[in-house]
Amino acid sequence: MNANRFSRVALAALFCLSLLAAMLAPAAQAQEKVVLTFWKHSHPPADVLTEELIKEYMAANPNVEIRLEIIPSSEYINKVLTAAAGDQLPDIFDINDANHAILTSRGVLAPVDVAAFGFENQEAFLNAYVPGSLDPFKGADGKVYGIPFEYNSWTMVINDKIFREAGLNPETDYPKTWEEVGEIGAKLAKVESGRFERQGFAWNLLTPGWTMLLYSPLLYQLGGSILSDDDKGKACALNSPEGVKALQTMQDMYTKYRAGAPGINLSTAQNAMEDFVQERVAMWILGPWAVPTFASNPEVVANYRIIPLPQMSDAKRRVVMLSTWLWVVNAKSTKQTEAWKFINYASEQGARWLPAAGYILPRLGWTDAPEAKAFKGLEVFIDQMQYGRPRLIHPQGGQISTFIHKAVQEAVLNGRDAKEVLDEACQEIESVIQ
Amino acid sequence: MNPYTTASVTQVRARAPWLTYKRRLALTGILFILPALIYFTVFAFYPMANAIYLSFHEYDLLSEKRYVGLRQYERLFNSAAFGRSLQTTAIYALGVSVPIWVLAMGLAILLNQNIRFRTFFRTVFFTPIVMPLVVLAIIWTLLYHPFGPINSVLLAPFTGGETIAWLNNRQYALWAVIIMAIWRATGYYAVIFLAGLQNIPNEYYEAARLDGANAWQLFAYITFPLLRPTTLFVVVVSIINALRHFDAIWIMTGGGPGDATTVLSVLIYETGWIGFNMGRASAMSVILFLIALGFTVVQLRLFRNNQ
Repeated sequence: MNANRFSRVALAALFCLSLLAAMLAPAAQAQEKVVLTFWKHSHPPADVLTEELIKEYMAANPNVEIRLEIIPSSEYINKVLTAAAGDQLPDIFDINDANHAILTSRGVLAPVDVAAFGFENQEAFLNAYVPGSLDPFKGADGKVYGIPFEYNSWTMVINDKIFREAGLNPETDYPKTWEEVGEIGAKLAKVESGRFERQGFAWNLLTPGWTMLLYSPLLYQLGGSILSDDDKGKACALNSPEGVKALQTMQDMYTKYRAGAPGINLSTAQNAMEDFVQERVAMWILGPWAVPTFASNPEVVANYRIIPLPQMSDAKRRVVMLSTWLWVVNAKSTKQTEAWKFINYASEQGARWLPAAGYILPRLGWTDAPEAKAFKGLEVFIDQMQYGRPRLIHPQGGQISTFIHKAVQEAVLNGRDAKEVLDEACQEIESVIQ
Repeated sequence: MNPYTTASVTQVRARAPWLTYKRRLALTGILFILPALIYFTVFAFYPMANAIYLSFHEYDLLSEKRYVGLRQYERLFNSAAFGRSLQTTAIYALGVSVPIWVLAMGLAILLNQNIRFRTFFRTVFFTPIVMPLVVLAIIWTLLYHPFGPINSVLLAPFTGGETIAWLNNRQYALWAVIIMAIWRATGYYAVIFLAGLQNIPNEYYEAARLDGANAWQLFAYITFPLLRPTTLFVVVVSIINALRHFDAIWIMTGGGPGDATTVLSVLIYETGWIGFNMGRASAMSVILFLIALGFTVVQLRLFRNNQ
């Protein structure tokens, strides 16, 4: 081979090698990158912050890529269930308390990797949280199977402006019992030509989840329960005298006290907070997640007041309902450590979650931050947590909630006898739990 | 060699191709329908067979299936809620379909006349069926609001300002969703009737008019009998569709208030996707299928006998 030909061949070989190196380099980098898939249910204020946190985490950890998918709330659990059945769950997803227990008991979820959270052992990890706040999320083995990021105590909100218009002092005259809710609600209602232009108080019976958050506290306050043995038994206890009285109290708001009228809010409450935000109802039950939704009406932002949840006047125990959403990791994920590391990062941002999404994280250490102090009503939400009780957690919880929801709607919206509807509900409940 | 000897005929028989003309025709036909057959097998027949299989099991999507025989069916027939849902479904299906048969036929006869802006009216009446159902359900939810246009404008002169909680009162909720379903589907079936009407030769009407037939006689002795095949189609399809309705009811009432609008399709969804009880939901689906099948068979027999 002469020199010219040798040079041409050598140059061509060098060129090919460079091309090959250029092609392989990104592939090599991609092989080192950990890709995490993350599903979350849609709640617009939280979606924005989640995307920000993901960007920050990926910038700080260039070897990690997190692919977020935001799924409409109405279809979220269906998608999670279907994915679980087909082994297609993402690495990280969020789940509510009612379904968390079911997924944990079926081995779908991974226990928290406390080392990924930077703790030496489980005890140190638990001490970083509000005492007892992680207990409902432990499996049979005592390990924690999710990190709560939305810890709602469901209490009451009132509109100060409407109270003052009715000649009441919102700082002292707010209702402490359900009977007072009815009496004060009647004073706050605005009725013109037989039509409720504004309700003093209304029940939001839009979905089984909401109904359970509204009916359950009255039932539990009276000492009753949905299932026997304080919900641990296998018989329906809903149609007990306590259950009937709780439902009759709900009916009384409309029929006895005339604080509102059945079903007005249901037609516009595709967004559950709509009627309170538009000042069509003076008192409402909510969790802290709802407070950022007031932003569309500056009048409501300026005049809302969070008060302790009213109790039955003959209550045997003080009860406030809790509901939670948790970040969980798929038990079949091969990247569990990385997944928990990201969740740890997200759960350290308590001071940002509160103003952005109204989420109270039970992880300690953020409540003295300026953002926390600026959140009106936070101290009431946190104080109420000590009386907190989660909604019924049961493998057939979904169906039981639906039966109760229908019974409550029948009684409150259609005026049927409370004992009759609860007897029917108990029949259906027992057919699914036996 | 003589071409007609046995040996030569035998040779010809041995060489006959497998792919004869008839077989080629048949194969061509099969290949044409194969894509549709595959589609229906994967997305219709297999899920149906799977639902029947699941109806004999307990299954919550997360645990292993457990065979329970006919227990799901036993529980259903002992369930008061299932009985009420069957009743609600029957009222809903007939409440939607029967008015549609009458209104759609009447509308088709009107739209078949030589009137001004006929094309515009045909378009307007057909539009609801092409609009997204979710959008329509939300619009009707607002129309039915206690302070919405139906209460405040349409009914106010008759009710003296008293509002009807259309979607939240057991007395009215089922009729509210029925009215919406009738409004949406009438134009669609009117177009089907219109196609049937346009197949009736005009000479029949001319001959009848010459014999002195009035409008009612034209309808009773020419239009209605000759529309029989179209009517059979509309009757069967409208009932089957009504039995399957879910989206609008779910959006407008969620099956409520109570179980006032919990038709079988809603109950199946609640049982399967809220209650995680796939076995029981599958058993309900099988029963719904048998109801629709039974109705279709009865209708076909009735129409055939009357012919």
